[in-house]
Amino acid sequence: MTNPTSNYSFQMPTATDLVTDLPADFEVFGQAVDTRLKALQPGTTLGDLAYSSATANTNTRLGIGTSGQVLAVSGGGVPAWTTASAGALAKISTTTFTNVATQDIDSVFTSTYDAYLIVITNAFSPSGNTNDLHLQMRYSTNTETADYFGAIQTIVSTPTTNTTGANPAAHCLLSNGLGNSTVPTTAVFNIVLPLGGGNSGRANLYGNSFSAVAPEVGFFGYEASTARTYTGFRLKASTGNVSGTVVVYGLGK
Amino acid sequence: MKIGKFDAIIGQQIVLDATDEEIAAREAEITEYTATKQSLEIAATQLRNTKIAAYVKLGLTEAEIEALLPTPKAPRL
Repeated sequence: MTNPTSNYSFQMPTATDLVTDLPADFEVFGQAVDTRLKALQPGTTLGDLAYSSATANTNTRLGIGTSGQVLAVSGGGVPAWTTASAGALAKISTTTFTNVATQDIDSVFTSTYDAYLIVITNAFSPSGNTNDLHLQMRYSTNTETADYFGAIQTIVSTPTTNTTGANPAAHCLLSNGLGNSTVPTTAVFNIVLPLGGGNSGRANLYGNSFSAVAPEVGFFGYEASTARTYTGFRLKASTGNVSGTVVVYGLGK
Repeated sequence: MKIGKFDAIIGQQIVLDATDEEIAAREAEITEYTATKQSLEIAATQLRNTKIAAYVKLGLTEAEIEALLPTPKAPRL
């Protein structure tokens, strides 16, 4: 071993030192080691990290960030905790429901988002495939049961036909003919709150669905024309029960 | 009658037995839906018959009328 040491230049006693000098020599050596170790591991608190600084053999302490933060690189080129930015598409909820008369999805529309993407899969009616899939808007614990304006246009394999609903209606018709568990119905649509989520206003709903019963594709658009602070929606079959899975996404502002 | 309720704040799906009030509301809703659908079907049939009568007056054959007026699907509501 070299003396001083090769990496950190710790001074050790030499062969010519007097024995009586050893305590003082080891004080010099030990303090140098202590100082250097602290420079390399500056942590003081649970969760601290250390990274190399511009000074040789000296690390910089980085205190732990807050819950949800991620480690990034600062403008100065060193690590830094930062709050992760929300993605453009954020999943709010996933709900699977089985053989229910109605299914309420509440507290999914908030001031965080103005527009939402709804994906319904594996929807069918255990009560029979002559049932249709309906949607009504919800506000707090209430269901809007009137004044839906709009229509569904369907394209059937043979023959091609167009159908529409009554105006105003008591619900939005999302699909003609819920399938069964083997050939279920799917729907993908947007719900947009034109005055912003969390504000009282109308709700616009538009998208498409596929029913394997005919089979047929449905293109629909509706407006819930009564101004409410809409917070969710209800799914139901036209007359019987319904099963399925619904996922709600928020679209970043 | 079972009803499903999901609240994103709680993040949990629960299934409850419908209250008497909820059962009554659902039955009334279905009754109204069925009645409205039947009335739309009657109106669609009447319109179709009116058109058929007009085509008959014009001298169209039954096959020609069927080509113009294919059997409709039931009205959707």
